[in-house]
Amino acid sequence: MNAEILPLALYAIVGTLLASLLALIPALHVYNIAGIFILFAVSAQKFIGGDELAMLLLGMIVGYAMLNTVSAIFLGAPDDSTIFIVLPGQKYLLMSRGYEAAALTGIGGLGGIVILILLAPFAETLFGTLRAIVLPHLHWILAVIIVYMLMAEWPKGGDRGATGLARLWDAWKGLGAGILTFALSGILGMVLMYASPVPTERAFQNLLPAFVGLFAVPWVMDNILSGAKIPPQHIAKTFDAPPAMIARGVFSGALGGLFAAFFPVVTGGVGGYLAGHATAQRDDRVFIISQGTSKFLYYVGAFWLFFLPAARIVKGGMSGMLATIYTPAGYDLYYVSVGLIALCGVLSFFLLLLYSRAAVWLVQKVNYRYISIATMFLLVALVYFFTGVGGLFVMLVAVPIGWLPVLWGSRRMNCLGVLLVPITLNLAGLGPTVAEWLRLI
Amino acid sequence: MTVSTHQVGATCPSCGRFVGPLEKCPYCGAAIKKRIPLGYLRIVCLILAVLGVAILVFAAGGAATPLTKIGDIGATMNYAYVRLDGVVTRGPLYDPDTQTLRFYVTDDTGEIQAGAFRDVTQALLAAEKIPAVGDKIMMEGNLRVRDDFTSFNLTTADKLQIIPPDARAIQIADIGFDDEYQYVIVRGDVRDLRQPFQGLTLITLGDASGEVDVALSGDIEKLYGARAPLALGDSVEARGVVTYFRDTPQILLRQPRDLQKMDVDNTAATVIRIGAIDAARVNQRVQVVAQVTRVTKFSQGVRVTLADDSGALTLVLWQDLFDQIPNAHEIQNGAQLQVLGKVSQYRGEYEIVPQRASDIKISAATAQANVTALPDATTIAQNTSPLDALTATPRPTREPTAAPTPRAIASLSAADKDALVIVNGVLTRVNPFSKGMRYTLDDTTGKITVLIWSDVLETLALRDALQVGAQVRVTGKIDVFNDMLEIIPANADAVELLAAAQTPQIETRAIGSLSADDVDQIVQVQGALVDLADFSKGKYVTLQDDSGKIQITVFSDVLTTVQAKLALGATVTARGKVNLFRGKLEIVADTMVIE
Repeated sequence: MNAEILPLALYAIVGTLLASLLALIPALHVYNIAGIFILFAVSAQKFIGGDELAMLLLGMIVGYAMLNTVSAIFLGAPDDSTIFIVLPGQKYLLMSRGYEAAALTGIGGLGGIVILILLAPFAETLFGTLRAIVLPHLHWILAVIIVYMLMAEWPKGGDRGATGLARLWDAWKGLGAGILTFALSGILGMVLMYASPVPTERAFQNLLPAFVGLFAVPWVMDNILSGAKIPPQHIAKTFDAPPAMIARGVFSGALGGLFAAFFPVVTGGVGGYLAGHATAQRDDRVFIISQGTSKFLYYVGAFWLFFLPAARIVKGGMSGMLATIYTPAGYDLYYVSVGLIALCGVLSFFLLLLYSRAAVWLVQKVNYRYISIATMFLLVALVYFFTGVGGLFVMLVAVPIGWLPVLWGSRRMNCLGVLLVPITLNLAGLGPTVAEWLRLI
Repeated sequence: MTVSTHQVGATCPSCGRFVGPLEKCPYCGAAIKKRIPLGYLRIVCLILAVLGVAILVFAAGGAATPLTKIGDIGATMNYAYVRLDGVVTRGPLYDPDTQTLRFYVTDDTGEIQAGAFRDVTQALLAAEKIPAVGDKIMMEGNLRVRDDFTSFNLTTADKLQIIPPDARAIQIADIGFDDEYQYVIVRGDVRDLRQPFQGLTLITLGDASGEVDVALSGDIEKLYGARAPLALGDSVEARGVVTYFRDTPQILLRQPRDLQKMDVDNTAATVIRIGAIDAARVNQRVQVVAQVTRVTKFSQGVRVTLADDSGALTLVLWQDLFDQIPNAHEIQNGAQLQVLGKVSQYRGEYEIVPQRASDIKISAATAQANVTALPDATTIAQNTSPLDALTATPRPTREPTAAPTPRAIASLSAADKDALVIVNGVLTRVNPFSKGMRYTLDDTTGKITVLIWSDVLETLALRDALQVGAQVRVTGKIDVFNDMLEIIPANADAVELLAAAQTPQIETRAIGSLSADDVDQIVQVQGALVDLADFSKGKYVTLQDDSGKIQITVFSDVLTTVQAKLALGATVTARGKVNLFRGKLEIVADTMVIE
């Protein structure tokens, strides 16, 4: 096996470097590019070996999990896992501390690596047992998460307005928009599950147009329309985060990230949000670190679970795609994957610092709007490439839904109804009934 | 009123005065360019979101679910919602604990496992919409594509349409490959009842034309209840679907009630006189009642000459069958036999060949004095085995009649019968049987069977080295059996190992790493033995390692070397060729080692 590790490590490093470049392109998701590799692997099966492809994708997801912070903070283009980083991250950005925010997120990611290494020897027993316990209860646990998500959003305002009705409207318009966003994205998810306009031959990217429409395009459009100015950034040499704070942030993020990595449908954003509430973290620095850990564990942890020899949990987009053409084998590969996660993770951290400096320069020199326009073209092209005209249609429907939270001041997390609603209904055995109500089947 | 800085929409761009919400400056008359209020954008966005989803639902609801060919399903179709049309080929497999119902469906491009879970299973059971083999079905659901396995999850019971096949009556002998998945009716008597493993009952039915196994799975009984009790000899009608198990047809019952007792006594072969047997009866099953006039041993069993007042014919009892006859020692001259068997013709003479021990019913010897004794018959000694008690053809003598001569296999013919020869070659096949081993020897000019009887085999030190690929020299007497040449070494010294079989070094593969790319490749896997099942010529052994499971097909020749150690949980190393059988990978073992 030793002789085989070196080429696998090279593939992983290449994946990390590739992902580091992709992560700089706002709103471009690693799963989109991984999808291209899967397509190549399917159409030309000999172009790369199974283990090599798996390690390439491992490197990519490690690189992306660490480095997508750059576009999330400096270019304001979050995905479903970084939506919570954007607000505190941009607050730091507007205080000229964007670089520091990126670094804190990276420290959180390094914490995530430590957590994975510590868990590696016990993961099979731990997650195998957990899965056996949790599996029969998924539907109601997800339902509780949904209810919590919706109910934990407090009315904003409500104390102004000439009449009681005006005050009620003021208090509930954001909440109402949030619930509406959740409901509409949920219906969108039902359509995609039962009668998707995406061609069946590309069903593995069924959710791509919806995610691009719900998360990426609204932010890009917002950037284009707002034309926000970013103040000059300071490259800090020290970080205002003592070890105890880092430990708190990593602990909180690990809870959320591992929950999201393991639990079906739950994304890094939701996991981090729940863990943040559970551990009552209020400090922005702790929050940013915890989100760094959470998103790293969400992306990388979910893929890492795929390599667990006996438990082999297929969770997350990357393992979902790879599992269709590849089955990892044995403990050797598992521990190689753990080692390469650490290697690529550390490499990504240093790239994060480097790229954050580059982003500081970029946002000062290049018009933010031009970057966003280019991104928009790229997103549309990707959606068309993967899912055709049907996918573009889905994306167009998803865009106004994704824009509702931005315009009405509700949580963007409500857009995750696109996943949570159909999966929860299906697990509860109600999916087909609701699909019949909607005349989808 | 003026303000110091111009604010778009609030002040006049011409005179700079505050104009508020007015669209025309009341001071200078200039048109005021207004900013779009955010509220408008919110409303538009809201309307677009609702309208967009409504249009999408409307458009998607009107579209038919795409019909997909099973063979076209690929990795990029994971989770696709599709319609599949096909014929049920296996199942239903039912697990009442998890409320899971699985079955296999094929179209003209491939086969896939379909499954229903929990509520859908319950709805299917409640509606009695249980797919059975032979049903044409149309179903909608989600595909689940994995590297090693693709399956289909049925969405709702409503989305499964079943068209049962029409049944037609057929003679057992007429069942052919064209009838696969056809729904047929056969009538016959119960010839055998057995359970090769828990969850499968095989009922052998016989009619005048032949025999066939009727299979009833335990899952069917779980779904519909147990079958009615049957006894050997019962006349029954079976309705089922023709399937093939390793090239042998069998009839799969769709429900236990598809096997029903009939009022008539026996629909199988009727008793006929020997003189009535002619060419038209060949391959048909008949019953004869006749007297034994001669009993002779041959290398593969026993030949019995039967005679009634209309004629005589030969009863052929293969050795394995003969060994199963409990009172075989009563088969001797003068005994009265009632035999049910298939008529065949060998060298112009008619034979009757029974298929099981119960086909022979023996009455005590009555007219031994009337029977002409054969010149080579020996007196039956007391306290000898049934086989030895029979009149036997002399075994090959150990004394060579002439010096053995080296011969090319191609040069040997039936004319060399009883000649003592030497042949060199490579073993290409190993095949155990009840009284010894048969090896196929190939010297590049031709092939010959090397027959080594058990007594010789027991003294053969190099027995374990006689594997496929081993080069050997065999000295022995030529015999002819079923028109095939055999060389029979008289003792252990007559078999020499010239070169041991070359076993190529093959790296042990993880089971999970095997894929369709490995089909026809020789691989080696190691894992824990987790399941065992019998089939007619060996066993299916399921091995599991950390990466997955695979079924190993182990034929009897390989099995004999490891049978004693075969136990669940044992660590097994198996090497063999990867094969794709009904869409699943399996390994056909050529060697197997159990630690």
